[in-house]
Amino acid sequence: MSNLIHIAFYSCKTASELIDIRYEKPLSISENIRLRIHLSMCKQCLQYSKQSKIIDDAIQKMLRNELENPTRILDSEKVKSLIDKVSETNKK
Amino acid sequence: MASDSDITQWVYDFGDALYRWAFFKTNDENVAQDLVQETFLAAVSKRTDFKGESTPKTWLFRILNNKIIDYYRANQRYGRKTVPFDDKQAELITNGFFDDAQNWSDSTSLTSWNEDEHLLDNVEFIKILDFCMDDLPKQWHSVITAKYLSNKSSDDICKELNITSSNYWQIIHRSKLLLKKCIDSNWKL
Repeated sequence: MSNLIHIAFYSCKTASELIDIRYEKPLSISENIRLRIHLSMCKQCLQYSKQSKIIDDAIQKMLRNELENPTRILDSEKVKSLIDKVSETNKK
Repeated sequence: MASDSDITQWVYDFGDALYRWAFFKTNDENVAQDLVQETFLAAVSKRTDFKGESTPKTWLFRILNNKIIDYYRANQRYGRKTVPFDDKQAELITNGFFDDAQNWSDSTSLTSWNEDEHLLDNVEFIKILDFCMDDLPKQWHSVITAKYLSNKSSDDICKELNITSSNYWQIIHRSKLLLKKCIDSNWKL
C-alpha cells in the first residue's frame, strides 16, 4: 500500500497490532473506522484478523477442555501421599 | 509467604488442575503425577518467595511449567523442540513479518487455514497449537497462559508479572504472530 494510505488508514504493521489489541482494549471510534477501512482494502490483514481470532478461541478452548476435564483427577491415595510428602518436607 | 497449611489446602484446591495440565503436556499419567508432586515440593521449599502478588494458582502453574520444560530438556524424545526461543530471537523473527515500508513482507505466507469451519473441533489442530506455544519465549508463555487461564484484567497480569501495559500488548501481539507462523508451516490440510 502507498504511503498516503498508510498515514490515513495505518500500515499493516500497525493494523496488525490493533487487530490483536482490540479484543481487550476497546479502540476509539476513529481507530475503529480507520482499521475497518484498512481491512476492507488489505487482504493480508483481513486474513490475519481471522486467524488471530481463531488462535484466541483455540487457546481458550484448549485450556478450558484440559483444565476442566472432570474425568481426569488425582486419586485419593495420590492426594494423601502428596499431603504427607508436603508436611514431611515442611518439617525439614 | 505461604504457610504449611496453605500449601496443604492448595493440594486439594489446585492438584487436579495442575495434574490435568501436566498430563496434557506429557501425555503420561505417571510423569504428570510426578511433576505435580515436584511442583508442590518446590512450593514448600520456595514458600517464602510467595508474596501474594500473584494468585496461588498462577504461582503454582508457573512452577509446574518450569518443571515441564526441565522434563523435556532431560528427555529429548517425542521429537519436541526442547528449548523455546529466547526474547531476542523471537523479536527478530516477528520483526521480519514486515518489510521496511511496514507492509507484510513477502516471506509471510498468505495461508487460509482459518477457512476450515471445524478447525476448533479438530484435536490435531489443538495439538499443533500446543506444540507451537512451546516455542514461545518463557516470559511470553507465562503472559499468554496467565491471560487465558484466569479471567484477570490485563492490569492485574501486568502487576503480577511485573511488566508495563505496552509491554503486555506487544507480547500478546508478537506471540500471536509467532503462533500464526508456526501454524502456517505445521498445519497442512
